Amino acid sequence: MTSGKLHRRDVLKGWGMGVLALSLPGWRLPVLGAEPEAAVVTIGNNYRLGQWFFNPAGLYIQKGQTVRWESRKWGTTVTAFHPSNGNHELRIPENAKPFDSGLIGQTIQSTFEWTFDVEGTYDYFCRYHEILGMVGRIVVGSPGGPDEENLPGYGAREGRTPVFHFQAKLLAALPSQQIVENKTLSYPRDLLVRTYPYGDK
Amino acid sequence: MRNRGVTRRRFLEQAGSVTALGVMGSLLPWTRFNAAELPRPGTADWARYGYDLHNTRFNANEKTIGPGNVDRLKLKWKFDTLDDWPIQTTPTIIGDTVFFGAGGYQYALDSATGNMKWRYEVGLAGEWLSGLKNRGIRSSSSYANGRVYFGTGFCDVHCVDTAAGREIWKTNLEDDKLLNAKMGYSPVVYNGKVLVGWTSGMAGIACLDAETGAIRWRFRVAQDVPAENRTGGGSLWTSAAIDEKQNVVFNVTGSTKGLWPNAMLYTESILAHDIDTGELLWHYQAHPQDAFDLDFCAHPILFDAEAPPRTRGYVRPCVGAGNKAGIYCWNRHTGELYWKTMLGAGGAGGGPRINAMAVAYNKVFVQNTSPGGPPLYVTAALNAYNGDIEWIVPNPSSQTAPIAVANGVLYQGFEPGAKVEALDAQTGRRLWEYPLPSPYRGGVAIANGALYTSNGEAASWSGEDVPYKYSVYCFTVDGK
Repeated sequence: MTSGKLHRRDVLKGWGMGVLALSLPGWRLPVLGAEPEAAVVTIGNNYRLGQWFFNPAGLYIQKGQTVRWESRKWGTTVTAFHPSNGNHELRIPENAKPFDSGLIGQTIQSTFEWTFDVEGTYDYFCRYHEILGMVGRIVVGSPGGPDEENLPGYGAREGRTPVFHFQAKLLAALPSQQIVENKTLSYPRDLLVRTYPYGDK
Repeated sequence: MRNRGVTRRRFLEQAGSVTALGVMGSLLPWTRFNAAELPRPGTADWARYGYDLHNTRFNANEKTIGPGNVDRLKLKWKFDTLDDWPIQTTPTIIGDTVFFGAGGYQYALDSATGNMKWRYEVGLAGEWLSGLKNRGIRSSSSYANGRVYFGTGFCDVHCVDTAAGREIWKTNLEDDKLLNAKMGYSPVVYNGKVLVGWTSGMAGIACLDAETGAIRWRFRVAQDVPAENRTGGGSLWTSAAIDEKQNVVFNVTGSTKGLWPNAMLYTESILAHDIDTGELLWHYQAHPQDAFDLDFCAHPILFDAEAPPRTRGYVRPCVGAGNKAGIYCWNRHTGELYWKTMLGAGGAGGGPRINAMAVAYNKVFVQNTSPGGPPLYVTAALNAYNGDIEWIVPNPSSQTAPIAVANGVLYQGFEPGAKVEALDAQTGRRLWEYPLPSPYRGGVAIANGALYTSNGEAASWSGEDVPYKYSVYCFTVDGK
């Protein structure tokens, strides 16, 4: 049997192990004032209705919060309305960094995360399905910026890429104030229904 | 220890002789085979996925199993895959040998006993098992000139000698991992060429040299989508049909992966190419810029359709195919649409998936799934000339596998309520069935008096542990 006396070395070793354990991600204790968890937006589609969507389509988050998009389908992007992204019109705050996930989904990178450090309203789209109205809106802190000052399509006067009809229609269904009040606005499944092509050509 | 008996000159002489023999051997491809080890052909072989170059899935040489004795089919043997991977390929039967691929292996079995003759590992190793479902072999083997040709989940085409299962060549057709390229397509070997297609964010068709695997020509389907988008799609899920007289290869394509403000030309289309040059001769796009995923998922089939008696004398030179919204028949020389028939509501999970079509007796046989709205599952025989329904029977559940016809019997199977069954090809009357432990996916081959089929999994499968094996089954009359 060993001695029950506690040595200085043992005490320090114990402290060291404790600090190490707490530094591991899974062992962290909740701390008041810590970063809120990432908000999640699902990327999906409905072939029967010819729809590709972000859900929730409208999302409210706090400044500094992270959003994680999770894709259930191959071949989409999460791309901010910004001139550096395919010459799209500016629909995020002027001093915010534009984001573009690149191709995501299923067997390749299936999630994309972005932390929003600038307050205001952000519109984003999928590069490959925007013609179907695949857009979303995020309000960070409080609404503001070019998005609130201009209707979709204002960039046409600047030679920007056109905004498709379905994009404008969906963005009109996502009023920023309602996003702030409700925190999330689901994708409106009955809004953008295409005629099913029973006939050919 | 020093070798005292060998002088430098003698060593060089012997080394030279051995080298010369080796060089000669490599220049003479037939010396790689021992003729005695090659499969001995039978009288009613099933040499490739679509049975013949016209993709009819109709074995006109089979005379043993028919409507009068199909109900006496009994299991003769079964063979379990070595890596517990589902089977999604149609067996290829050449006399005494059965070839099929599943998971990481291409197998050769003794057709009389089911004993394995050899196996060929496609060399996928570790990474394919984790998180990359359906990377196993889904491409049925094509047999030609003592070799089998097939594709893999990494978009490689393999040519393997059938004497001992050795690789002759391997060609990769797409190495951009972001494109998620796979090959479920079954190669077609014709006149020294191998025609293949693949599924991908940017799918394509290629013609390879059958001897070397060198690419002679290739065709990217969604040509009006910038390559950097990687979302043109237009995947090829099936196999080609060949018009030997006109030297034309027919392929059908799938949906686009993204929507671009243009036609997405050549997606959801049938394409006719010159086999030698790759020149596009004609195309028919059923649904331009389509968001509804209406892939052509049933292979092109060549047939000459005779007119009904009332308008006797006419013969239409046809090519048919099926997509998720219907069955189409065109003039194979011009692309003119002769007829289109729908057997239910179209939709992403619908139609004669995958390759559930066959042609025989001036009929186009179709097993059709229509899951949207009220589900409707049917099998029908359509008049090959005008698409009229000659008979139609309800099915208990959906399907995702090829059908086949031989000697007056139509064979099909089901995904839920898994089983394989036989119907009278003239009436649709049910004659025989056999339950399977999991979905029927690879289809059936009828050859030399035996029926060969297998069990696999639905497309949602992602490597779960299951309490059953994946096997090739051989049935004969009374199990003899």
